Amino acid sequence: MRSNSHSTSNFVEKGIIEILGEAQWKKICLKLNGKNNNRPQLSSEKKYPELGKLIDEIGEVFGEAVGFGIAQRAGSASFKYFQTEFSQQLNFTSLEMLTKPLRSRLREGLISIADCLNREFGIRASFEEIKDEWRWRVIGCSECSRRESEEKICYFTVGLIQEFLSWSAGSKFFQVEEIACSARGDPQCEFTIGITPVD
Amino acid sequence: MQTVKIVVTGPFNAGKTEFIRSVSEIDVVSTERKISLEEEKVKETTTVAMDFGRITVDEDLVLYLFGTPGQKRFDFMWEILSEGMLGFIVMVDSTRSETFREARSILETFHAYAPTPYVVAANKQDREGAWDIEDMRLALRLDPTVKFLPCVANSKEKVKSVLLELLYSILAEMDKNQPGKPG
Repeated sequence: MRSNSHSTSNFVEKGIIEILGEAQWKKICLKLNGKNNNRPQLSSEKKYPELGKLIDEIGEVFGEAVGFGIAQRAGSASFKYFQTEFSQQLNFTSLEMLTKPLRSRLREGLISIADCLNREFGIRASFEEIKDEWRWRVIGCSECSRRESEEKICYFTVGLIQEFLSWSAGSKFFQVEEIACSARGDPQCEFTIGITPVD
Repeated sequence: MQTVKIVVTGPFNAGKTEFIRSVSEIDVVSTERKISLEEEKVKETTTVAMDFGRITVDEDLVLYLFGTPGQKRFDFMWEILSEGMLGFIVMVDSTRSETFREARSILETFHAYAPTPYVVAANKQDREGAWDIEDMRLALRLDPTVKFLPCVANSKEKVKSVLLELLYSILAEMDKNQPGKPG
């Protein structure tokens, strides 16, 4: 069942508010919407695509590159809200999942996240294992759709994936790097995910 | 609502992360250490090489603190982080005189990026072997008008007083630059 449009954006909103604070969030929303609305103006489709606008606005306030860093922090922060919002679909805390070896748990968790995002946001995220790394690919990426850039810009997604891996593996840090981005004209967004933690 | 972007800079191990962590409402996640293990990937991960903290003073004033990576190889991040800053703090380790020259050079670099208000914080003043403040001022060749403040980065109160001094300078500067005010 598709969630209603309000709940689908909750985890994004909460993640950004956690990092920027309520006052800055309101300020950004007021700027995006005009003075009578404290929430971003949202498309009639889904709320997640508006993430790009929010990140652009954060870049306006703090500088573009710093905005990417904040987007990554917000992505990390949003994971716990994402997990709460879609707990039944994700099934991360079932006994079956928790008793799997770490690598299987991470792999299946990533597949589960991709399935959830596909269902809820109409994107096409996929997961593949290639030798000693994982690849995460997204067609119709919610974060960079309607944005153009010479750089790779999906830092919120990097943060979200990184936080899932860290949460699953007892706070270990995994390298997640975007290697292709729709915003710069690549056919899809693509991320490499290190299978073993860096530290 | 006024957003105040403040950069906390200084040589490696001067206490920048600790300074931000002492007062921030959110976790100050630094990925600097992790990045350093994959040095060849630095360029691809530039945006995360920073500490980031937030302090809500009241509904109308929120301070955002950005810590610069201390290692020289990350100095390309300095200019990126300085974009839009309203003030900066230079942290100096009072126990390591060999870093004073670098601290002075960092101060000059940031001042060149943006002529915003700044303060210099003499950190680790509680440690044995810490230099006297006035001797440090001389060694750092700081003008007598520069706010040079004793600091202990893991003390919330000391950190707050450094931030307040900078904030006063920023507010004075903003006031001065308001149209209609005498220059």
